[in-house]
Amino acid sequence: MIGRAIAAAVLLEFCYAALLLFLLVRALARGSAFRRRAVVSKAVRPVIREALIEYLAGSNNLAALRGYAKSHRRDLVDGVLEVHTAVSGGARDRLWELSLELSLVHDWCADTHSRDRLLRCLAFERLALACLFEPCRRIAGDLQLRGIEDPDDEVRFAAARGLAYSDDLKDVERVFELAVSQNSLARVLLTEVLRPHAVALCEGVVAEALRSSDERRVISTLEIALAWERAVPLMDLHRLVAGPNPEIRQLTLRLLPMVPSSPENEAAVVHALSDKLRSTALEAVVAAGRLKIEGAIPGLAHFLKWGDQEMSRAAADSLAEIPPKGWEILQEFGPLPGTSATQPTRPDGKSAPQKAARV
Amino acid sequence: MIQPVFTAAFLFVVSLASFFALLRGSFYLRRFARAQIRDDRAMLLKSPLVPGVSLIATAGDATPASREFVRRLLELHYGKHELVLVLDGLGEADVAVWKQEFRLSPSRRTSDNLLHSAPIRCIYEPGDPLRMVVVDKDAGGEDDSRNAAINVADSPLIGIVERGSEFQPDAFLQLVRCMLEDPERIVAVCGTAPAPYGDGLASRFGALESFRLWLGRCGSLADRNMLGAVPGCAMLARRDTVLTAGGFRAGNLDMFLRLHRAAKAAGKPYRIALAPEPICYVRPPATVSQLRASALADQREIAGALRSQSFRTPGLPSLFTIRFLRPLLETIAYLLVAVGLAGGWIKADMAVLVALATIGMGILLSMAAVVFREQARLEGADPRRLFQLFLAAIPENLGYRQWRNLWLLAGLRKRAPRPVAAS
Repeated sequence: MIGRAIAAAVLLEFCYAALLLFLLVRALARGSAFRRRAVVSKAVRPVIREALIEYLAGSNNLAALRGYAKSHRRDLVDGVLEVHTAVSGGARDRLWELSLELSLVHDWCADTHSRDRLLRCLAFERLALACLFEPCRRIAGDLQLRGIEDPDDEVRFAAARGLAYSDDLKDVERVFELAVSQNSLARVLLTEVLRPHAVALCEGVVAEALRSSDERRVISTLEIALAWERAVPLMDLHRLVAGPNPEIRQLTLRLLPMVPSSPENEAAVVHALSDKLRSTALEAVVAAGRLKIEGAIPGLAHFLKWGDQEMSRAAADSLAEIPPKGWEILQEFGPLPGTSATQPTRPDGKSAPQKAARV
Repeated sequence: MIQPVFTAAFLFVVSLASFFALLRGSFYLRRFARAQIRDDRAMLLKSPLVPGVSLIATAGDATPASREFVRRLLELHYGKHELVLVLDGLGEADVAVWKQEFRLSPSRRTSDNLLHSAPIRCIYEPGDPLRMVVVDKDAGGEDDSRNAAINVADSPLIGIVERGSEFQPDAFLQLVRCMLEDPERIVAVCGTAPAPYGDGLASRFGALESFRLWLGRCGSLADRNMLGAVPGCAMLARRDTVLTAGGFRAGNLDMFLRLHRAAKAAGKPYRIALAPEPICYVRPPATVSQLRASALADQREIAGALRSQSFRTPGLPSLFTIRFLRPLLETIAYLLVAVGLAGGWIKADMAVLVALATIGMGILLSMAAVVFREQARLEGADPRRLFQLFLAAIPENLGYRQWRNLWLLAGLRKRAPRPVAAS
């Protein structure tokens, strides 16, 4: 029996070893090829970079670059992408013009049809950069519209980033729709490229999304609008402050200081000060200070006196933002526990209330 | 006669299962490597949509190495982060050193006491513009200190880097990227990859160990959503989930296994994700004593998890088999064969069968780890070093492996609560 067991074990281990040897030989061959390519690239890349810089500086000698496009195409692409990060304006346009001339952009367009998702994703990433140049946009625009329908997330994001450079607002709106409907990572990656179009988007698709009955969609839209960190022309936000979803209420309160002020918005903030949820009331306290709402002073004074430590500090902060009435309330209450009793003196001799330290 | 045959057969089966785990891990990690080609770190760094992280760290002394570790944590690249440093039972002189180092003064920050920990003496903030809170508390050990830090932390995410680890400054940007892909379901993320290894034999043994761990305990278990913390990894977890799981009790692995249990009990789909990037790893061992220390530290974590968790916790039965049962059976088999051969009670062919089941399969497993790791990478390795590592599997299993079995068995002995690690 042991003899048979040994024979079986030897056979098993032999098959196993043969498979591993095959994989090892393949890995060694791949490693060798990788190293050879790395050695060649190391030698040729500085030369390519030099040639690209000369071309961007005004030289019209394309012969060398054409040669590299034939013999070291991959290194030339890497060189173009590397130089792209260091140039702007006319030089960048000239670089992408060269990429068109040497058919690099056409290669990437062809790669967008590849069945290999890695290749497809790389192609859309590169096209997204090239689309800063209008003639490239004309070539790749339709492909990117197709790309945002791709089943793969990464490919969709890459295509969307290129599409966001489009001059057509409809294309930008598609990118916004993608950002709203996908995960948080999509919002992080696409918010930045959508920022230049924030005002135009807010006048159409953003306002529409905020009216949606899908709470997830409203939350995503509010997150994007907040992440733009700029003034946006959004109206009627007071409706959302009065809504039932606490997350929407809080995000809206955070957004209110960035939209045009209106009596309805101010009334919504004052009303939110009495929200049952402490975190919403806290957001309302902060918003009241930023919007300098005088009507919120009684509520803020209430929190200053009766709120917990964090709420009371936030209320003091907000009151300090609403001179002179807010300051008067602060003076009535005197220094907060733990703050210095001596208050800074203004040049006119009056005493300014000290801003409470943020937690 | 029959029983040693069954023991050998069992060891064969375990080795084959390990082989398929390595293979599965290799496929998973390759898929992952091909999934991430874009460098989003700059966007993640400046986006206000990325949630804040409270990094937690503990110090059991005030040595220059500890202070250096804290300085390195403060240099992490992240948009919204703070460091919560816990001074665990330090004497007045040591606390004074920390106070002087960061110009600490008492803070208004409070602890919400949601997790049990030893009493907090004082909470400090630095006089310099550093995003840091220092918690001075009575001695309670590493887990107790981490619980105190979680009580003080006010970010939705908790980040942890082990003391002995090498980490990249942008480690947490990589981890949070994974979390943002599916923030509803992902409750925690672990990030690690094998460290670059040196040229000595001990370094190669360490590399083989780390390859097996990366493919088997990271790749394969992540694919089956059974991932636990592994030595040297950087960890990011949602604070609310950590609180639900009851905080730290017996190390990182135990914490992650309880995160699995708490998430399962919640009845919602969840995932603990892996970021298989070299963002954080154990310093590669260069000597046999360092190999021993690293094996013992890992074994202590596993022992802690085995003691505090139900045996049916996902991932634990396989860890028990690989890290306890197999070393035990191998050691017993070697002893019996040695005694049997010396006494003439067994024939040489039985010794051959045991050697095939232990040494033979061990060599093949280590060699498999080398080639499967290559399959999982997009770029190729230096052929000479790769071949040397492949061959190192032979001496690893002819002497070192047998010693390592003894270390693993010794590492399972019951220990006192984990002290805060010294640098």
